[in-house]
Amino acid sequence: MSTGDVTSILAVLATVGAVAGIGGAVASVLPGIGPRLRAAVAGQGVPLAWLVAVVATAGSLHLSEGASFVPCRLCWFQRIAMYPLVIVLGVGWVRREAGARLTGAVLAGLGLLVNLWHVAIELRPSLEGSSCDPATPCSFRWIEVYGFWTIPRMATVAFGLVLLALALDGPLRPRPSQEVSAP
Amino acid sequence: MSHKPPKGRPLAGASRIESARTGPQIPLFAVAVGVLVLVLVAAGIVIAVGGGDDGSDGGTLAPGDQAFGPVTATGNPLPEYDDQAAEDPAVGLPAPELVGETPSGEPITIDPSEGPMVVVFLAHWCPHCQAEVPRIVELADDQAEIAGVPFVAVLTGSDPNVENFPPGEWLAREGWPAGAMVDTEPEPGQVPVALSAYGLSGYPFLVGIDAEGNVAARSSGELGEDGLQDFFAQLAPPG
Repeated sequence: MSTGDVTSILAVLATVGAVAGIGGAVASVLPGIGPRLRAAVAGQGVPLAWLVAVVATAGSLHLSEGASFVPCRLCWFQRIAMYPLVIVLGVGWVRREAGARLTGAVLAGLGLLVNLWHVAIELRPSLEGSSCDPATPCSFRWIEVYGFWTIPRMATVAFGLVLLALALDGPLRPRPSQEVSAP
Repeated sequence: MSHKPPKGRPLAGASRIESARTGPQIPLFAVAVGVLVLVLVAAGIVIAVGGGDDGSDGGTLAPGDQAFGPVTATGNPLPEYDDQAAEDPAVGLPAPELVGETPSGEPITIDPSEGPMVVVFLAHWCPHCQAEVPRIVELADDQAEIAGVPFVAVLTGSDPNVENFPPGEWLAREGWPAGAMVDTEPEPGQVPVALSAYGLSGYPFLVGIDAEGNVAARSSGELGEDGLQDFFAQLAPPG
């Protein structure tokens, strides 16, 4: 499977994710639909966010290790935010730790902030400065699948979906367990 | 008193309490996994039917499309440029001579002894270079000089996978009036020869060479129209 094939798949997933994310975000604030959506996501936000993080991490690792696209400085900051989500949300899902949602949301939120700056630099390279780093300028577009999907824009979808899934799962605070463990 | 989370089997969906509160749920996680599998399967079928061509032919470039070429640098390499430094240590040092090829494969020499001149290092994918080239073209007179100073491009850092490749065609489209040399295609972990010889730190990169063949000034990044005029003017022959 070539790099072009993989980036096309990632672009399709980003498109599906963007549609689902925007649709979900809009639906969540609509009276009548919002509460039903939250009820539908309740208890499933963490695994959904974990799935997004797994796909994003796998895609990111393929692009750097398989396709040899050298990550820029801002890419590294986003990786620092995204990669731990696989562990944090995975463990939180398995162990039913409500705190994992808050930790995950903080990581994803920080990642999204860096990501939005990266997208802005991509659109307006002058924000980064007046020159291109010979090695890996953040304004450099390694790919532009279907004329739109660059790596930072795909990351926007990933961070956004993680945040949305965690937010729709309920209030972002640890809830005391109401269950009694079986002896 | 702390509330410990219950241990046991993984949570596949809502907890029993949440289930009781919300009623039957759509198994969204399963749906998401299903969509993921569906996309992967569909992609597999498309790749299998389409033969998995990634579109990169890697074929032979036509004349004029040469993006890389052999470069020989004679002389001591210049120290890497640091735009934060108060003074550029390269100023006053003899500029290396570069012998290489144009995008058409013709021989070309950048001989500092023929100064004054400006060597303009460009990367076809760099947005700052894309912005600066039209300014240089606009400022150049009929003799392909700015303020009486000739210039030449070195096309470096080229990448077949991104826009404006091959760089020679890009320069031709922009109406570049002067000569151009293509830099080497470096091995992984290496840097192109011409880039290294002149101590480039960022694109675009201008090196002003005086009449004695020494470095008069270097600049990294977009200068803009006024900055370009000033840069060339400092090298202009008196009178």
